[in-house]
Amino acid sequence: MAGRSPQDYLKSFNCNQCGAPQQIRGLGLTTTYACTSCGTIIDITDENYRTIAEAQAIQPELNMQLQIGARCELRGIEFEIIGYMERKDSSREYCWGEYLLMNPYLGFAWLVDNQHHWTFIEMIKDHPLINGNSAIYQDQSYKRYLTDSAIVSFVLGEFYWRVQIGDETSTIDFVAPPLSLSVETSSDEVVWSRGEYISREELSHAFRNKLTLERPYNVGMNQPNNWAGSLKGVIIPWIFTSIASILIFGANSHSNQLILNERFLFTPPSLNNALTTPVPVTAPTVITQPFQIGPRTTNLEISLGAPIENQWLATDLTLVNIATQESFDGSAEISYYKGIEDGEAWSEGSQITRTYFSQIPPGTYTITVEPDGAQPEGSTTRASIYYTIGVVQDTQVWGNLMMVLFIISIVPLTYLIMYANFESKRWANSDSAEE
Amino acid sequence: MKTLYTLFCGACLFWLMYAESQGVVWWYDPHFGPGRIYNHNRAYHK
Repeated sequence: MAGRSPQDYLKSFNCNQCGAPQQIRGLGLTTTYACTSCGTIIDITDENYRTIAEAQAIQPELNMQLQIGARCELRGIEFEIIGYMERKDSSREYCWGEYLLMNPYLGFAWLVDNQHHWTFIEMIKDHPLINGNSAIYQDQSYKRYLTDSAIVSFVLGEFYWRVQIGDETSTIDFVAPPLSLSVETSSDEVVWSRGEYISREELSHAFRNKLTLERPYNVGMNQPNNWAGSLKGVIIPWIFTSIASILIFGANSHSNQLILNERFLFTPPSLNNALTTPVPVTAPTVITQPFQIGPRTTNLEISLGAPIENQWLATDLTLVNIATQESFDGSAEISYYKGIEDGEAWSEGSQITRTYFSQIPPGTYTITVEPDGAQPEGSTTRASIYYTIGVVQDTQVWGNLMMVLFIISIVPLTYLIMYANFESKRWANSDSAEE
Repeated sequence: MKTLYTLFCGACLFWLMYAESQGVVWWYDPHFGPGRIYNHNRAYHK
């Protein structure tokens, strides 16, 4: 090719069939020409431009977004579009477009429009190593994506081989986004090619922003998963914060000091109609012994326990600072039921519960306890029960750590779900197992 | 987004340090949590 100028590759002629003027752009490099007016396929290596196939009755199925003769710069190389071909898979329902690019000094390449996902494809001379469901080329591992056939359904412009409608090759595609590898096998040759995904913006830029490209739909075979980058961006802060949270939580020593454990008697009012004289009982309010909280602002864990069976006991709790009369309200309830049903013993509830007070300043406090409850179900007598109020200060609360870990995980988890969803869509069209 | 998320993580760490030093129990705290949980079952039992 050396020594020839771009003009040496150009030649004009009129179509044998329709007479429309045509221009050959790859003279000496291309062999077949499909008339851009009527679709007649012509042998341009023949001095009389012999007709290979009559005019195509069919029209392109896809909207050609690039025009033959348009020039672009991809990977630093100037190309001109000289041919367009549509191919279908073995079902003949799925169609994609392939634009043949030519640089008179460097040869041919392809731009493939697959659901408006664009891939720049160059043929490679080395045969990648196939190992099961993967292929290795230049130390890059590619995963098998699809094994199928490609059948030519429409052609336009020049080609460097004797292209015909209905030409069929078997294909295997491998992907390592944004890269792809494809091998096409026909009766007389095996051709490997390597592709790289090109975004709409990059392609438009390659054509000097003269294009208005349609938006791609679905997920492209070798489309980069941008969620991977987002996930990588937050994973390090997430790991650091998780470890730091656990260290902060573990480094704080908690005294877990029991500062009150007091027992009270309570006679629940009856709800049992079997009692002949239901006596409404006003719950006796009790006040605990004073206890000391401190030396710093802390939390309190209040426990309520009672040996109840088939009944419930609830308490309103008011924590009162004796010096300042500042009060803090809370409540605690226990219920415990058991029995035998269909020969099997069952139980639900608990005889002890815990509630918490947050950020209680140091000082001397009492708790005003207002109990309420019911007699055991089925009982015919009114019985009293002892219940115990326990107070532990400066207790370790896992909920704060759990909340921090949960909140900081929302963003990474969202990204992870989006990433997995993207990959799921990518591999939905594959006949290989999903990654 | 990465910067925002990193700042958010830092804020969470500071909050945890504050909560641990001040005895915060966030789900019982009127400032941080849903407030103290009253015994809503009592009405049911009555």
